[in-house]
Amino acid sequence: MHDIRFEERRVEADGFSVRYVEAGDGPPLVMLHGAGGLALNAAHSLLAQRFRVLAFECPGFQGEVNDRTKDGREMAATIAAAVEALGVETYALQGTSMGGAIACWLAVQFPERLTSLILEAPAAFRPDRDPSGMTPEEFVAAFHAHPERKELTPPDPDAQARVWPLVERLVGPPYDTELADRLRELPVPTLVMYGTRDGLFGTEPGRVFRDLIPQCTYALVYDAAHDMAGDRPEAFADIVGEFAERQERFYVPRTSTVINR
Amino acid sequence: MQFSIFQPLPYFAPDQPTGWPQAPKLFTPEHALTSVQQNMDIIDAADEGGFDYISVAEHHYASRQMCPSPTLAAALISQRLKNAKIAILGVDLPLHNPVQVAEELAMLDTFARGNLLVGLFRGTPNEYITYGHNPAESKASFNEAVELLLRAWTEPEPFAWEGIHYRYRMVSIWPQPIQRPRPPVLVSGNSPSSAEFAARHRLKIGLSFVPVDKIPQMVEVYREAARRHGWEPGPDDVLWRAFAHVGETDEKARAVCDEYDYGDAMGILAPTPRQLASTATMMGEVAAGFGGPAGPPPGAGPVRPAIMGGPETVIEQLQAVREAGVGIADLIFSADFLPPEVSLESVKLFSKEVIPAFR
Repeated sequence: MHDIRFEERRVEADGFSVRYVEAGDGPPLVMLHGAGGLALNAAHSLLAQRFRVLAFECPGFQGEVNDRTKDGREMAATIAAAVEALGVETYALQGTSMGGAIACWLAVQFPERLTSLILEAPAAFRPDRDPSGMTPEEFVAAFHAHPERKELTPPDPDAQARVWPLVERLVGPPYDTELADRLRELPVPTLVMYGTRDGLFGTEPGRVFRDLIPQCTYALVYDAAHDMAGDRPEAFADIVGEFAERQERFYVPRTSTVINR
Repeated sequence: MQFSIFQPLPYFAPDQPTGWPQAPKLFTPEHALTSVQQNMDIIDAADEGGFDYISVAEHHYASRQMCPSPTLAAALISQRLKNAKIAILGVDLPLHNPVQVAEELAMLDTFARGNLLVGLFRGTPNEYITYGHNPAESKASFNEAVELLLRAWTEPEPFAWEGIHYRYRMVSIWPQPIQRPRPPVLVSGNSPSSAEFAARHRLKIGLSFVPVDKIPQMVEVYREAARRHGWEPGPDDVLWRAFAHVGETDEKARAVCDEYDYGDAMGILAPTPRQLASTATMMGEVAAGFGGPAGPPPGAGPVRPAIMGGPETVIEQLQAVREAGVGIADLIFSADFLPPEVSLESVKLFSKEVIPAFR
């Protein structure tokens, strides 16, 4: 892998000082993290070889308390303003889990700014069940098909308790009918992915997205749990990268089968 | 003149939407089982009615044709035929392992007692999305795959193939085909370069949905190329595929075609309103890979069957086709949106009134 260094920066937007990390050249790819907060993984570095990766942190996830943002729609507006403040007019948008729900709200509010919408196990239209009933082992298995491929740090219960009310506001109800109605009209090519071993949401929400969004590709990522990018970073970076670059043209491969001329 | 019925094996269900791909959730076992019987009724009627061939073709992901595997369909059908031969028109060769295709076709020829006619095609544009194949290499990989397949049927010793797109270190298929030196093979003759390829390999050509007045010129391109390669094609080396509908009278035949909007070859790709943007993007990308339009532009295809009318009219139309140089007419009588009982009546009438005029 090339030596990719992410620079940590801040941008003033929508009354917040929004933290983000950036690396790479190429077309802009805006990334939104899940409820665990902004943490870089191998997929970020792989994608930064092809794209200008801008991974934003939702205000409220870095020690400070965010009581102001009411829901995913408002957070989406904050993030959109932050991207705009950087002078980036159009971009591919990727969101993970909670970040996927926020990305949906950004897409329906600002479709003209997006070249594609890419959702990694998005939290919208998730099954209505409480994961707090899981044993610690079940919880780890729900998130990680391959814990041996990553460094797992036990969550800080205090930090989790502090941010959880915000997480609940950002992910919204299990099935948000207003979001569903607006996604039916979404003119943005969309990729929604679920890991075949996702123990948190399963894969069924992908069908809902495919049914709702006119230009939606629904992908099952084999042998990955909820943390798809951590379980299979190369596969994740490949499909995300190709969809961000080619959107639905990615159905038609350019790969050559020539062995020797 | 020989007659073939191309049975697309439609999934007959009222109110089935068009579009490609079709969502699996729309499939119901009840309609599928009824459709199987209705298709077999049409095939049996054609077999009993004097058709020389029953043909099937490979198409994926759409209810218009329940035939992703034409070799499997041909195997199923060949075992019930009393008179007709079986034709696969055809296999989308670049989508498959050519050695496996050679094996399956040889097995089919064996179990069908040497009654197989095979078409090898590149496939319609959407098929390049089915398994994810690069359309920019379809022609080159098709040409190589055809040569490899013919060698797999004719080389007497196990061999290795060191190709451009294919590499096999051991090819030695078993069973070999019954027909020697090999089963008859047909490729597209719809362009001068494909006619040249057919002539060079001494293969038959198929002209799909070509207007009758364009046939003589395309046949002449093929014949001229064959002469350069030292042989003279016969009438049975040219097959022509078209939609057909026979009614008791011209007026009744046209009324049926108008009522069901029957006869549009490109209907298989007709997107639903929701699919419009996606289909345009995907087909545009396939066209870019092919280096040209991925099919006739909308409206260029025949909207009404080339063979349509009462028996007398249809006989005249087919005489013109024969005079144009066609030896095998491969006719479609079925579509998913045409009630199967209407198709069945048309096939019976064709058998009774039209085929005898050519015997």
